[in-house]
Amino acid sequence: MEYLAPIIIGLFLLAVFLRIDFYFHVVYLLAGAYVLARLWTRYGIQHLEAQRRLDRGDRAFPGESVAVELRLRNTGRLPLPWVEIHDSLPVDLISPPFYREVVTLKGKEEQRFTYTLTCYKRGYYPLGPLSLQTGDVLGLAPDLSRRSQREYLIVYPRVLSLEKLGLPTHSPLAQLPTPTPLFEDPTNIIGVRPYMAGDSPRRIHWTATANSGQLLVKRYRAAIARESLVCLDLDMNDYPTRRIYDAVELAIVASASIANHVVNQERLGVGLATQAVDPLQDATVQFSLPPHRGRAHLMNILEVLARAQMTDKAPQPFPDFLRKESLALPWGCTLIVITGCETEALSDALAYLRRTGFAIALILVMPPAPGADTTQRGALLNVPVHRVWQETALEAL
Amino acid sequence: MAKKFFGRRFLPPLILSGMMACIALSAAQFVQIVAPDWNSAMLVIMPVLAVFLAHQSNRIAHQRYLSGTELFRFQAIELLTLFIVIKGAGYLDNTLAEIAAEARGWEQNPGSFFDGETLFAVALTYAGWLAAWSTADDLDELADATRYEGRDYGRPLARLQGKFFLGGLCLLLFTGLTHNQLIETARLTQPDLSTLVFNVLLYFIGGLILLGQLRLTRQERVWVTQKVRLTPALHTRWIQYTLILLSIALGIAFLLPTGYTLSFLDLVRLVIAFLTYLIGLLYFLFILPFTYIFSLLNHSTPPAELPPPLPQPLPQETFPSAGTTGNLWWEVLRSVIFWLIALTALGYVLRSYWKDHPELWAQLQRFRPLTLLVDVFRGVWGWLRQARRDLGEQATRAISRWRAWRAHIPLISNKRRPLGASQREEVFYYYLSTLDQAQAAGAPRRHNQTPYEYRQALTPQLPEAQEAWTELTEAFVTARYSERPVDAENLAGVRDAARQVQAALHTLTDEQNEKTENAK
Repeated sequence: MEYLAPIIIGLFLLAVFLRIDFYFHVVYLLAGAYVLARLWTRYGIQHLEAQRRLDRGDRAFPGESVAVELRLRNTGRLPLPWVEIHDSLPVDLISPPFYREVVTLKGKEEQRFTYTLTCYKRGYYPLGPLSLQTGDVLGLAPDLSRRSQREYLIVYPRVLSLEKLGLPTHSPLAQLPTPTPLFEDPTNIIGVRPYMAGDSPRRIHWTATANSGQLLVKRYRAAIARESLVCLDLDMNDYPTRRIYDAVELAIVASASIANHVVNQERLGVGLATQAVDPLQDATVQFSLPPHRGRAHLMNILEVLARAQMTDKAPQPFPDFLRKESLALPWGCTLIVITGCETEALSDALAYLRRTGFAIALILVMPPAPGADTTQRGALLNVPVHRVWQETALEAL
Repeated sequence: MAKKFFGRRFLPPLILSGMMACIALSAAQFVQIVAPDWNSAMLVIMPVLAVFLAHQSNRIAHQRYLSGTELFRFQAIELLTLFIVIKGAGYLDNTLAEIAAEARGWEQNPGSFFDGETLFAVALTYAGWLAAWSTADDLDELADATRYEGRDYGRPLARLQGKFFLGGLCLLLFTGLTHNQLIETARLTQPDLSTLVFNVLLYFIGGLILLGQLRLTRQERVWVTQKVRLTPALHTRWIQYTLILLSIALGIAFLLPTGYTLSFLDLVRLVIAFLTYLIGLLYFLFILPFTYIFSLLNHSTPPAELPPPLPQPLPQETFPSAGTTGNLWWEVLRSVIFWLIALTALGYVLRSYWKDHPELWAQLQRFRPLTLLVDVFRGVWGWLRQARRDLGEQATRAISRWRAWRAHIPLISNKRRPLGASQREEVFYYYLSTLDQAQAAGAPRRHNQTPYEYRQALTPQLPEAQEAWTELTEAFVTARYSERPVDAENLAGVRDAARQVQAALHTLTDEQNEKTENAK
């Protein structure tokens, strides 16, 4: 009620000037209702707590359903006449993309509400913010609202078998010059490099770290490595315009499937390097996860693949990015390059990497089969070329 | 369903009729004083009847989809019928011969047909009828989500609120006039006053209940349009909480004082006079010993300066007039209490309004003298707050020193807490002073103990201050070993924690002393 305050003041002045005592009863009644309504609303919103719980945690795989439980609690002693709950949700998980309800809460009362999210596709989905609004029963005080922080649900990319993708199952997809399982010689340090997520604490060079003030890890001289790095191209200019969405998603699925295969089937280390838009930072960033073994590292890779989005503002062209990433890799490592088109610059980069001593496998994600030139060039460089565009894989998307 | 039907169909006209009855009753009371031979019962019954009738007719008109000429004819017939009923009701206490004689007089003087009594009753009834008709329209608009979709939800509600306050103004006008007339004719008795107050409060209580229901209707309409799920208990609890809120407000309205004998300006004058008197008295008491000492030193010669004269007592004209009954000081106190409460309530209302309407401030900022005044006020306010804070801190320090002295514990060296110490240094001070007290209590910290180890060691001895002890240790470690800034809020928490721990250590010291004495 917008004009109540001026009315109360006017009435008070009228009562003072006319000196009619009982007018003050009316002033007190209106002012009392006004003040009580305001204090009640403010007290109510201060003592309102909301919590969101996901039954499967904040991670899920495509096809799974996640039950979300909202807990609304009035911690104060005063009741709340009405509370409007509005939880904003991603349209890819639920339709309509929100959960709304109006409830009334007694003092110290708790209520729970449940809704289900269905994970159809990979992504990094914000849940919320959860908005709570309350007010008084007479409309004398303005409604107050508060918002809780957003939470996030990560839906991992789909993981398919390599047969479904039409890829060979012998890993690491390229011929290794020697089967000797030597990776790095810890007695032979050739330098240091900045610490990256996933590096073992044992590799940290404490002296160099203390000197430089930056966390640095040791680089050992490499022997032949049987580690693999998946280099994923997410530059939208490198994919066919007509079916760009399918192509990019298929490239991500292929990356996830290969990483899964290498870790779970071959029991080898795998890493990921890509340039993509990160919704968490709302910017194009370079992801570099060095090769490691184990399920935990695989989950890290899948998490990055879940939230990576294609970009049109890659910091570096993909061939240059490959060259840069190769600098931190041990000799003999396998690079699995996944892209949407094969260009001359890419061929040059692959030739350079091959000469440097890396094993290379090129996976092209595009509708037409690779041309004769591409295959010939691959054969010349001893780089196996594969194409991913199987109907079974597309159906699974 | 039946409850909802009753709530929509009958509750609003019932409350509206009741509110109209309040206005009509106040008008009738006024008329009773001005023209005692008028039929005051008719003045109450007809407007109430008109309100109920208008509400039902409005519903019928909507059901029949009447509009334009048809609607006008429908309304005209109803108003004409009301006029005839009013005119007829005016003759209820007349005989047929008297009525016939008056009817013959209409031919010669047509103006006599519209006598004052009839015109006043018709005006009151028609006002009630028109208000009820437009209120029914607004209620329909407010409740019907489909017919008026796309329009502003708040407009019908704002119109209804406007009508409520307009009606309240009319009521207060009639009641105020009646009140003044009764005072002038010295006929005001306690029952009369109670009826007036009851009538007015009933109107406003009824109106506020109705506004509460209208608010629910509006909110419900918004929620239904937005397809929001509603809890079934909402309606019941809404009316419950409305009644609770209004009961408390009504209690406040009756409990707070309404009478005062000193006007606000008189009160200000009295306060200023009192303060002047107080300052004068203090000055007199302050100067008196010096004057006495000087007079002793110069006993050979007569004192050059005589003691200052005693301040004048408060002038009589500042007090309430002699006509007031009862104790004079009680009257002053009553007025002070009244103005204090009234101005506080008014100040809160103004402040809230100001906060809700920031655009007002933007407009007022164009007026330079006002902004200068506000700047000065802010400066003074800031200075006062700072002074209060400084005084509080000084007092806290003094109290803690006094406590330490009382407990025979060595005072903490001021070297650790120089004046103007930073907030980080103050955290150190609180922690280290606690360590000193712990040492006095027989639980010193060893040199090889880290703060966390010492916390673990001391915690079993401080069962009632475990949380405070943990908080103090955490705050010290953060302040000492991290670059995280220490703000005033953190500092206040640390101070409280230190106080709790030190109080617990005092108890521990006392216990230790007792044990030692017992052992001796």
